[in-house]
Formats: sequence, structure tokens, C-alpha cells
Amino acid sequence: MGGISSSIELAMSGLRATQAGLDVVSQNVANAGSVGYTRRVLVAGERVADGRSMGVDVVGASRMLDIMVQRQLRLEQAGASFTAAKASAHTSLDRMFDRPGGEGGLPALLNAFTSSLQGLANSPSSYPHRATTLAAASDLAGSLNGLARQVADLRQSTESAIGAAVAQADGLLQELAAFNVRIVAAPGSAALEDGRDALVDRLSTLIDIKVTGAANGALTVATTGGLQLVDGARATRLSFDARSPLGPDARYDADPTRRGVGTVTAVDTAGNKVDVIASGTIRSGAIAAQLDLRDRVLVAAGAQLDELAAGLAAALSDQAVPGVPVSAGAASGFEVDLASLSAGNPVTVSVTGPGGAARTLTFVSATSAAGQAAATSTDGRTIGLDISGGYGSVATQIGTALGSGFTVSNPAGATIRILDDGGAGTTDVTALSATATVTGFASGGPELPLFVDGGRGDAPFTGSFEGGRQVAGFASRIALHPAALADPAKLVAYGPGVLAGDATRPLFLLDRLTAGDRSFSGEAGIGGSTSPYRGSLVAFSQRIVETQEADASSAATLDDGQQIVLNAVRGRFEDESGVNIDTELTLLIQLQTAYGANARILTAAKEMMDLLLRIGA
Amino acid sequence: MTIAGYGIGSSGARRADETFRSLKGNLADLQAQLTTGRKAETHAALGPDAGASLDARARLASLEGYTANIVDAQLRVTLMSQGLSELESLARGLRTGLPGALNRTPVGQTNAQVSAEDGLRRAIDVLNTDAAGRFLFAGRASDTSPVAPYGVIMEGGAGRAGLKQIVAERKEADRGPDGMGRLALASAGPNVTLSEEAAGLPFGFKLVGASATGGLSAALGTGSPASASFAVTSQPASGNTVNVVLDLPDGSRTTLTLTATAAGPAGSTTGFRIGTTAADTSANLSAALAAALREAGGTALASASALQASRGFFAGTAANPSPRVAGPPFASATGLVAGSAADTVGWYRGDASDGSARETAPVRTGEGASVAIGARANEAPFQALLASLGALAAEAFPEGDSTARARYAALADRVVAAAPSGGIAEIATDLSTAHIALGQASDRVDATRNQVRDLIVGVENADPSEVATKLLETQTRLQASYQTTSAIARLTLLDYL
Repeated sequence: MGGISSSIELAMSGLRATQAGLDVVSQNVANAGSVGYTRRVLVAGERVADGRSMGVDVVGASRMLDIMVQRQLRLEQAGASFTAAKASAHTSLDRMFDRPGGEGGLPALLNAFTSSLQGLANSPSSYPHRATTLAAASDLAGSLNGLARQVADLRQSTESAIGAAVAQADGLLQELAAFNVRIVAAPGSAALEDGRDALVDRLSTLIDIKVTGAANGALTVATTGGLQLVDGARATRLSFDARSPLGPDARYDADPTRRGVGTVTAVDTAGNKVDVIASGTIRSGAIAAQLDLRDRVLVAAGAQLDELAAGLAAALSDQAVPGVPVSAGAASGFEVDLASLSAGNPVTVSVTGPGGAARTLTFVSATSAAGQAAATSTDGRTIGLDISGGYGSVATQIGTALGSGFTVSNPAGATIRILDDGGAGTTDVTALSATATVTGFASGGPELPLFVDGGRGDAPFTGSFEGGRQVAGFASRIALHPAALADPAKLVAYGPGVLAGDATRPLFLLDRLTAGDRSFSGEAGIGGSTSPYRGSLVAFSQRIVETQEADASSAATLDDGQQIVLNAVRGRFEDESGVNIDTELTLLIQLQTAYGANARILTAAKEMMDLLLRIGA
Repeated sequence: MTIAGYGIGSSGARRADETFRSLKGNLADLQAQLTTGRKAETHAALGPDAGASLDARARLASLEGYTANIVDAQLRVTLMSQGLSELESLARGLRTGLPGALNRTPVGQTNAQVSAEDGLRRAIDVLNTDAAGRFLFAGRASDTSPVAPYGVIMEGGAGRAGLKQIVAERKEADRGPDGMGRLALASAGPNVTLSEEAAGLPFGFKLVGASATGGLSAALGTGSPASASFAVTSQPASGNTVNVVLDLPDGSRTTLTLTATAAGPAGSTTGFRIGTTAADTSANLSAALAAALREAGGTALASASALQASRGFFAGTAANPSPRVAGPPFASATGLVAGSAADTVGWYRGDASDGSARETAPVRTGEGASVAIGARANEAPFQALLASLGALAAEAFPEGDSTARARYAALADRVVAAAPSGGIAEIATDLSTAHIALGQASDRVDATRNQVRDLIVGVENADPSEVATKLLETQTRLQASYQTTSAIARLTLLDYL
């Protein structure tokens, strides 16, 4: 059936559709600047009945969305917030070391200390030089204290930041589940979907997520590592048990009894608990960045400072106790006197055989079973040696560690004698030595305990394992020996009757700092854990700054790169889903024309009706 | 290439904003570089050059330390050299000035003797030179003035004997109770025997030779203590002589020669009268020997004794003072005892260690390079000079003393003979060599320091013209971006509807 009335009907539907199109355009233009708003387009279709077109039907407004680009955008957002958080932390660490050539930075203060020792070596009896040296040493200790505190504060604030980020993520997950419920109840609501997408966007800066949509409109959210976060109406609860204060030795451990820092716990709706850090299911985003900072970057930075402080104290107070060659019958070997050893001091034995292989064993003194256990490293590089049970027991312990083919005995006092198998010739003792920490100022040797452990009652720094690793957090506790502060002459007088102008001790200290060949623990992340950095203390301090500098540079470069990628993806996403005023205005012109055309048809139909009516009249 | 739309809210507009911000950031950065002259405010911003900057800074600090050491050492060496040339001129004065002073009277007022006191004071002053509280001739004990004050050295005090007392005691011990220098004279018939008081006695004359001419005979005894016997085997002719050779405590030697005369005055110290019989002659010889010994005991022996005492005094230190004559009584003393810090002045209070005096003050002038510029006031040449000056200053030559001129002449002879020649010059040479080494080290350190500074400037400092150029370029780019962006942003369909 055709006719004028149907034309009128069709034109009417056209007018309605144009009206709806105008609505969509005005909505797009109004929201052109709204964040998270995706451009709507009118979806219209032909209304067909009995095989004949009955006009145009407005199906609704659909969102212009490229799911692939959106998914990529979310991943890049997680990556960008990861790199941004790390770059910011590295910049903070790098800034701690002052500007190049600055007077207050750690390298500058160490240089000032060595320069003051140069001056003191030149004029040992001069009071101003002695006072300057003490002041420089005190500045250096103070600077280490300050830097260590800054690193500890950074780590503590990282812990709080993780707590805040996890709480925020948990809130977002609950909201997402709620949105899922509402969207399933009212499908096709672009506004609800936009709102939910905004939540997912925020979540993606915290955690690296992948999102999949279900047929009913609900979203499933999981981390790229496979941890299910939201499934329809069900949301996993995330929580974080922040610890405060974080000690220098507080580390993450999958074993809750040994863990010293907080961890992220996920509890699903069935009540199953998962330690997210142990499972490694969060790999990027702000939370992962903060975890990496807390557990790796700042631990290494703290360890670098601790190693430097320990090196500084030990370089000045370590006294070598050489082994003396001995022989008994056909057997030969070495003897060493361990009387001056304190907990933490090492004894090094080099042997060959049985079997021709050369071994070097490093024993670390301890004065309790607990200390002995702590001094024994898991990789076998150091072996705890309990010296509290007498030197007979020490000989037994060393003998056990060396195995067969060696005779270890305690011939007298604190002397330990290690002999090979003599005539059999299958084993050899090639070297034996120990290192003792000098605790007095007038021992007769040039070493002196100038730096002490201020946090442990001004105890000498021996690297002890008793009551926790002494090196842990030592940078925050290193202090000048109060006796040296009270009597600057101790910088020169290394024994009774030593003359005021004797340069022996200042020269020794200078050489120990600038030319000494020390080994620094690999925990500091300089030189690698298997081949620890070897060099002078001054060189090590420079390597610390260089490492921080290199880390900061690479973190900044990485972040710059990530931001460029993010901008590119965001650009693509916005070109696709954003509102372009020109497009909308062009559409407006089209709609105006269409509206005019439809109206024209109505006018024409009216004129035709009028004409028909006039015929009848 | 597709060109995306540009307008309000489009991503293009947002990207333009970011570009503006980054360009503006660059501008601020360049402006800061221009103001501070530094390329970067953090090590990270220096990039790979940060390591070079750190290394160079450490080297610079150590080089500046060396420079400070060298400047300080050069000042010290200059001061020491000045002092040494003063000591040299004192020693020269002893060698050349003393003999000339002999002919002036009264000897008690001779320039040389007065100037010996003054000279000792000046020598003490030089050896107590300090540079900024650091005593240059004290070895490692650089916080103590190494030499005791003049008054203490000469006069002692607080129950401790000074040089004058020690000289007086020694002189008494050397001369003996009868003034014959601890020799005993016996005569029987034609024989005269001269013997030392006791074997191994550290005081007085030591018999080392005896000879005679004509009818006189002389022989050194073979037993102990040493002795010499003279005999008038037949009456000597006039002009025949008897000679006795004696060693003096300071190591010098004197010969007494007695000539037989037909008629000579009694009590002569140079001759004896030939008597009527051999026994008479022998008695005359004995009397003449006694007179000659007494005279020598008051002059040559006294001078030698003073010089020896002074040497012993200046060989001691504060911890081990000079040995003392065991007594009183001193005239019959038979040995020396160690002096103690409680009873004897120790003139030297500095570093008394063995080993090279130069090495007591090493100056680091570079990696492993060192210049030694130490000195100790108790080095042998200084000791010898002080002992000579001390002996002269401790001796009194009063106008009324008949032996004064002879004593003075004897002492002057000995001092001239013993005056240090060369030793002080050797020390001065050591120091001038050190001065040259310091100068070379200074040049070397300066050159290296300049290189390191250049390196630091190259690494850390921003080149103003480069920064200015960059600044201009960035400004132009930013302006151009602003203009085009605003022009594009004004282009909207809205205006044409």
C-alpha cells in the first residue's frame, strides 16, 4: 500500500531520526572536553513491515570504541605509571648525592676527609690539622647518617604508598563489580559503560590488567600475571599489611615468619588467600613499581651506603694477622694467633687437595650458635666459626670444614695450626691469615677505630653477626669514636711514646682510603654478587654515585620512551573515540539538510492533499 | 600519512600542549645553565660524563692536598735554609775569627769569647725555629722546642747541673788534686818515673810517648797503668831534651819538651838545669817536669777538658743526659756515671730516634712521591757546633787570671781544630736538593691540576655561546609553534556556519 499518508509517515520518521541525530551531535559537542567520554554515533535502520519500508527506526546511540586500542592503552598506562614511579624514585636517590662538584655530596665529603688526612700527614703535630681531620670525618659520618635516613624514609614512604595504592585498587574492584551488576540489569547504557571504563582506566594505572567482556555486558578483569580480580559481580579483596618502622634488615620473604615488610594479599570470594608478591601475579603498574623500589632498588641503595660505611670503618681499623709457616716432621703448614679476633672478623685458609683442587675457605668469627648460623652464608662463601667455646673447638670446626687430609690443632693459647698430610703429599696448606679489628688507639699499630657503631653503644665495627648483621643499617649509625673527639692527638699517637710529629698513622690512614684494595659485598649491586667490586674506598664511593646516576638516567630514558608510546596509543584511541568538532559540525549540516528535506516532503504531501481536496470541492 | 583532525579536545591539541610544556622546560633548563654556568644539577643529568666528573673531582682534591703540602714544605725549607746559613756563618766565625782574637787584650773581653755566648744563643734560636707552631729542627717531636733555653743550658736550675757546672767538675777531675793531670812523679837517684794514677782512668793526661837525647834516656813502661821512665845515664849537654807526649781528654795531643841548660831559672816549665851530679840533674828534671805538667794542666788540659765536657753535654739528650764525673770529690774521681734527668740538664728535648733525620718529616708530593725535609737539632754537625760554642761560653777568662791568655789560646786552637766544617753544609745541601724537588713536584702537580680542571670544566660547565644558541633556537621554535597552533585552532567550521 502506498499513498500520501505513508509518505507523511515516512517523512515523520525521518524527522524523528534527524531529531535524534541532532541530540547525539549536541551531546558529543557538549562532552567534547569530558575525560573518558567516548563519541556516540546514532544507529538508525530501515523499518520494514511486510517487505515494505515503513520508515527509519532509531535503534540507539552506540559508542565509537576500538577494543584492541583500548586494551593496548590500558597496558601502556600500567607500564607508564610503573616507569614514572621508578624514574621519580631514582631521581630522588640521584639528587641525594648533590650536584656534580657540589661541596656537600658524599664524594665531596670523602675527598675532603682524604685531603684533611693529606694535610695531617704533612703536619701531624698541628692542632688545626687534627681538628680539621676530625671535623671532616664527622661530616662524612653525618652525611652517611643523613643519606641512610633518607633512603630509609623513602622506603618507609614506599611502604605507605603501596598500602594506599592497594586500598585504592581494592575500592576500584568493588565499584567495578557493582557496575557490572548494573550494566547486566540495564544493557546498552553507554553512560554506564563509560563510567565503568573510567574505573578500569584508573585501575590500569595501578595494576597491569587485561579485560574481557562477557555477552551479558559484564567485564572480567584479571592481572596479566593471571590473578582474577573481577568476575561479573564478584570482586577479589586486596589488602596490604603495612609495617612500620621498616628496619634496615626488613626484607620480603614468602615465609610470613621471616617477612619484615608488608605484602599484598588477595582474597577471592571463596575465601582463598594468595600472597600476590610470592605468586608474582602483579608485574607492572604503580603497585609493582613501588614493590620493586621497596624490595630491590632502595635495598640496594641502602646496602651501598652500608657497605661504604662499613668499608670506611674497617679500612681504618682492620689489622692483618699474618699466618706463620710451620712444619712438624714431614707435614708443613701455617699457624695463626686468633687471640685478637672479635665476632665478625674473618680467618682465611687456602689449601689444595685432596685431589689437586685449590680451595679458599673464609671463616667468620661468631660468639654464639645463633651468630655462627647467621655468619654462615647460604652460598657457602663464608662459614661461621664459633670462637666462644675455646680454641680447641675452633680447631675442630676448621678441621671439619677442611675435611680429611689436614691436621688442625690448637698447640697453645689462641694459636691455630693447620698442617697438610706430609709425606703422602696429596694436600697442601698454601696460606692462612686472619683480620682483627683494632679496638684501642694506642695499640702500637697505625690502625685505629676512628669510626664506631653509634647505634650499638659506640661498639667497634667488626662486621659481627651477633644480634643481627652489624653491617645492616650501619650507615645510619656510623659515628666518630668519642675518645678521638675528646683527644685529637689520638689521630697521631699510635702507641706510648709516639712523637707528635710522627706521620706514620695519618699516612697509613690516607693510603688505606685512597689506595687500599678492598672487596665490597655484592649485595650493594655494584660489581655483581658473584664477583664483588674490588677497589679503594674512594673509588667505591664514586661507583655508588655512578650507579645511582646510571639507574636514574636509564629510568628517566625508559620513562620518556614509555610516555611517548602511551601518548601515541592515547592519540590513536582519541582519534577513534574522541569528539572532533569539525566532524560533528559537518554532521550537523547533513542533519539540517536531511531535516529540511523531510520537512519538504511533508510540505509536498500537504500540497498534494490540498490539491486532492480542491478537486473534490 | 593520515592527518588527524585538529580542534578543541582533539588529541592533536593535547599533544601540542605537551610539546609546549617540554619546550618550555627546555627553555627553563637552558636559562638555568646560562645563569649557573653548569651543565647539570644532578649526576644523572650529566649522563656518562658523571663518572669522569667524580674521578676528576677526587683527583683534584688530592692534587690540591699535594699543593697545600708543597707550599707549606717550601716555606719550611726556606726557613730552615736561612737558619742553616746562619749556623754556617757561626761555624765559619769559629774557624777564622778565633785565632785573630788572640792578640787583643784583655782576652776576657775578646769579641770571640763574647760572641761565643751570643753565638750559642743564636744557634739555639735557629734550632728552635718554628713555622706555625711546628718546630723545624725537632724531628718527629715537632710540637716541642727541641733545644733548652740558653740560661738553662749554661746555668742549670731546679737542682740540675748546667754546662758550666759540668765543665768545672770535669776540669777538676782531669787536673787532679795536685794539678798535674792525674800523673804521679817519682824520682830516685838518676831516675825519674812518671806514671798514670790508675789504669783505665778516664781523666787527665795519658802517656803515649817519651824520648830523650844525649845522656838522657827515656822509655815507656810496658806495665799497667802506663808509665814513662827517664834516666840521666850521663850528664847531658846543654840543649839535650826530654820529650813527653801526652794525650788529652778531647783526643788532642800535646808534647812537653824540657831542655837541659847550663844555667836556667828554677821553676821553669821548659828547661832544667844541669846539676853537678846526675842525681842533681835528675832532681832538676823531676822538678821541671812537675812544673811543666802543672802548667799544661792549667792550660791545654783545662781547655781540652772543657771541650770534652761540652761535647759530652751536647751528646746527651733529655732522656739520657750527659755522663757526670762520679763525685764529689771530683779531683780524685775515678769514673764517670750516667747523668739522670733529675740532676743534669738535657739540652735536647726533641725526637731522639735513630735513623735518617731527613725522613722525620716526609712531604707527600704525589702518588708515591715523597720529599724528606726533616731535621734534628741533635744531628752531629749541630752538636759539634754547639759543643764548641758551649765550651767557649762556659769558660771564664778573667782579666786577673795569669793563665787566661794561655788557656784561651789552647781552647781557641782546639775549637778551631774541632770546628765543624762541611757537616752543616751537607744538611743545607740536602735541604736545597729537597727545595728543588719540591719546586719540580709543584710544577708537576700544577700542570696535572690544570689538566684536571680543564677536564672538569669541559664535563661540568656549560659553554655560554652554545647555550645561548640553543636558547635562541628553542625560543624560535616555541614562538613558531605558538603562532601556528593558534592559527590552526582558530580555523573551525563554526565560524563559517
